Amino acid sequence: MNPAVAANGLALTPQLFAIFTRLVEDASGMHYGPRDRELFAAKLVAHASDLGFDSLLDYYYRLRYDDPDGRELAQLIEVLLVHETYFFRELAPLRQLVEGHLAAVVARRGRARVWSAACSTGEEPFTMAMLLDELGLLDRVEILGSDLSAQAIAAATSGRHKKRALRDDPPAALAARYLEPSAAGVAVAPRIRDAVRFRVVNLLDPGAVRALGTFDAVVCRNVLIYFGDDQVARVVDQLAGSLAPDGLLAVGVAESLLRFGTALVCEERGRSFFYRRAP
Amino acid sequence: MSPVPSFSLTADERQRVERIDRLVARGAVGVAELVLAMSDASWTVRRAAVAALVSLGDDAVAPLAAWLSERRTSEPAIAAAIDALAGSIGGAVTPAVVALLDHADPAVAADAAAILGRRRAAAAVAALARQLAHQDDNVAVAAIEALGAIGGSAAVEPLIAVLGRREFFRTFAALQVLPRTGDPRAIAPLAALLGDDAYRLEAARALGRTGSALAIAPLASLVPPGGGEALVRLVAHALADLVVRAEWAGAVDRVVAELRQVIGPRLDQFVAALRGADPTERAAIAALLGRIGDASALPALSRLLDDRAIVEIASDAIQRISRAHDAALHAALRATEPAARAAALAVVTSRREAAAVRELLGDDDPEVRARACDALARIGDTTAVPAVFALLGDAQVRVAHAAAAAIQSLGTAQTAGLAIAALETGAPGVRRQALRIIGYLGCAGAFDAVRAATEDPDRRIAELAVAAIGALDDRRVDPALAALCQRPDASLRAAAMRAIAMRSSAPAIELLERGLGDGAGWVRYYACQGLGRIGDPRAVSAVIARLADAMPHVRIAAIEALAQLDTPAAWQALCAVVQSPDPDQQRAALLGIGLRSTPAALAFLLDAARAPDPATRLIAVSGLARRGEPAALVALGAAALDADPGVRDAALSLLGERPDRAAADALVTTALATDPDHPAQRALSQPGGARVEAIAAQLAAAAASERTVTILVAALARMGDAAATAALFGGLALPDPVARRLAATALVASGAAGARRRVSELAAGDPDPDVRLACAAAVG
Repeated sequence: MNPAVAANGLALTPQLFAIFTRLVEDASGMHYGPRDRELFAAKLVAHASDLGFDSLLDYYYRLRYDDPDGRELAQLIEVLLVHETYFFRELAPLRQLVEGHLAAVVARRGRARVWSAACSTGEEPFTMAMLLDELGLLDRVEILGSDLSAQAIAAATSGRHKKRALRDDPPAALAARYLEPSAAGVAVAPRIRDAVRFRVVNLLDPGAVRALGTFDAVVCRNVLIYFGDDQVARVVDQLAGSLAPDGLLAVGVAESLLRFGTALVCEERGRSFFYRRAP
Repeated sequence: MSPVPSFSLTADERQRVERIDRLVARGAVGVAELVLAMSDASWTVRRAAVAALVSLGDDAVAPLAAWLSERRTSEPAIAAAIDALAGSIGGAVTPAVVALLDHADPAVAADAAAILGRRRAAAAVAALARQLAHQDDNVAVAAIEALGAIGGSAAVEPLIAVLGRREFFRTFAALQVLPRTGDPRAIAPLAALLGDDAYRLEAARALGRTGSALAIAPLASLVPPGGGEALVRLVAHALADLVVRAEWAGAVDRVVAELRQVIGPRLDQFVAALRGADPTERAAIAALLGRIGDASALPALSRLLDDRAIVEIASDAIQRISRAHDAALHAALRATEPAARAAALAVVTSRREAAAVRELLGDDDPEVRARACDALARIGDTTAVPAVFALLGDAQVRVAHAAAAAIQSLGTAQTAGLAIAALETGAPGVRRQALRIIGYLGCAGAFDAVRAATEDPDRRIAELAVAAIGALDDRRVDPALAALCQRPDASLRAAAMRAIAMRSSAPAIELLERGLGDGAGWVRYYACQGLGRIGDPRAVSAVIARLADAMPHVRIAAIEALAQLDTPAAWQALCAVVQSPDPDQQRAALLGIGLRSTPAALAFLLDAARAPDPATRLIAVSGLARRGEPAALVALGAAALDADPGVRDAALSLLGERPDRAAADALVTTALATDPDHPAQRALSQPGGARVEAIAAQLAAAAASERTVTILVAALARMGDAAATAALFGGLALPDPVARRLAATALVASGAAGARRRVSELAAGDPDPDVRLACAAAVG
């Protein structure tokens, strides 16, 4: 057996965990604490090994000093991203947003824009598209879905999803009308698939976010939980800046922005909570 | 965005604050004016006055007490006076404030109680206990809360009396304090409140906070025979809390046994209560199901794995059940939810499940496949090697990597042949993994196949082949590597240098020295690494020259090499580089400095232990852990309280590994400075080293506070080994009645042999009545 055991070089020591997570957080905002260490290690080690490194420190130096276009780091972030989403997840707030807000905006101005930020493989913007189509508003609302992961956006654009994208007792009528089961999973109806535009966007990049314009509704759910507090404040600032004057921001049901002292106020609509810009 | 309010001082405020600073310098003479300043309109000035009065100690106590008693001009000023007395460094505060407890004005008495509570004035316990019967609710509640802050165990009987009187505000306050005393006398009166609608819910929560097995039956009695899911969820919450506290107190085994007996037969009600439960309730029920360990709960727990809020708790519960029961593990490996199968795989330790695990190599879920590989390696199932080879080409990198790692670990006689065959005929991903395996195992007979792979047009395969060739035991290796060093492709030359860096032959050293001058940065990088690993002092000058390399990672590799070269020149170079503004260079130098035992190294490490970034502090901590100086131990103790969990855990782990008494004392000091859920307290209860000795010494020290005794006794109880149990028995003979009472309770709760008999003796004959009553309640 080779005494120069590659496995030792690929062990994620506390020091390596600290420097890698700092690197990833600075680039993507994703924060990793002790509880995330095992999963982080598994993904990092597998990726580094696949690239041919037998030392994580060597890989770190490659990312830090020999990655001029940031492509290697982007690849690592792609590997680390969690693509956890599914159709009709936390449906009630989405329904409230569509029926109670976007419908009113369309009635007033004829059109509306909605952004699903960090949409992963697209199930959330597709869900909103279904709800809008139910109301006959699909053609009057521009829907944008974005994510940091190019792979996830590519999957979203295809409109084809795995079986796990449909769970949690989905609303039968919506599922029957807009989703087609297949051997590999489910496919979104072409009308719905074509109604959503997808882009790769880093929420920490103010220029990229500004370039998207303003929205009547921004949905950023179950994403901020992956960020450290400093990054959350930055991202929320960006999102607030992208809201139209009467626009609403929706975050996950288990998330709250109240402790961040943002420029947003919280309000309840139909037993769901949203944020809008303070007057 | 709303404008941010300004917190800067006005010129006027600044003048008043400066006046306060001058008054402090005048000592007692300035007290009267400082007391007046407590009524200043500016919050900032009032805060300055409070700080000043605190620092003047006893000089300010009597004037403050008099003001609080007689003046009380405004609420802000009263608050300032309370803060000043609560924070005072004076030794006369407690008697002066105790005297205010009997004041005719209940507001004064209540304030006095609050001050004593904030000061954790143990000497005031008896006086506070007398206030529990005060006619004014505010005074009584303030006294109860103060007892809670100080440690209410010396006032258990008066607190129990409060519960019995059922006076609304006082009873609720007592319900918060009594459970935390850990006194078994509290159980029966708390249970009695379960029959009162007004107090039932809070009494149930209070019983949960006791952490006592005696509380389980009363809580279970709340569960209605059929239905009443809201009550079931409340009880589950309380029981889950009870288990956590029992674990802290070292009494969890007995608690779990009682749970199985009392709650086990009603498990289906708790499973049914998951419906409609909120996340914290689901978490509590899942934790409870895991502790009870009944396999029938597995399907319900599996369904919780989709819930991100509680997936960890549900997974932990599945693992607990699977560890305890073969049948449960067997069932979990076949669960419909992939996360349940993955959770179960993590606890497979026996070959009895080998067949089931091998089947999971073909699972739909990649995490399951990867964990199946891990499990097969763990149980040493060498018959699975051919099947695992098939996963080397898995589409998921994580799975292929796990398969390669499993093969490396299992290492059978057939592995070399399989690996060479995979290298020669497999898809690119398979060939890459095969090369890793060959390199790891140094497979005999692989040279020709590996040598051929160094010419592969796939760069990654070629690089891996170069790495693998360096690991083979074949006389053709050195010439092959030398030839590879001449290749025009820089990445292959770098791979060759990396392989050479692992060898220590004379030709290898020559190639490494030549590599320092290569045009490609990564070649120079691995050359530095290799020379450092070999440790030949003759290479120092050449490596030092690389400190000026154009590529930053080469400079760092040079620093890392110097860390391993034990010469004065290398040391000087490290001392210069450790001041670098580049954090990576600084850390590389620090690593080397930490390996030196010289006194000069200590100063660098102590400085680095205060660095702003956690990675640097981590390296400092590792270096400090090797040293015996008192300053190093103090720094380690401070690191154990670091805000960064990585630094904190590393420091605790390193302190825990040291067998010496000084390290044990440092750990005791750290644990006593933390809250119950801080990792320092868990670290203190790890068996080994001189910890029992250090804890016992602290327990025997005069004037140990109730809080100190509680923490130390719990640490011994959690430790659970013979030495710790003996120390607890020793605690039964200590002069401090609080220590005797807590040690007795802990011994009975832990079920230690001989505990009940010995504690019964104390129940009959201890000189302290509280100890006798508590011991009697503990043995029942």
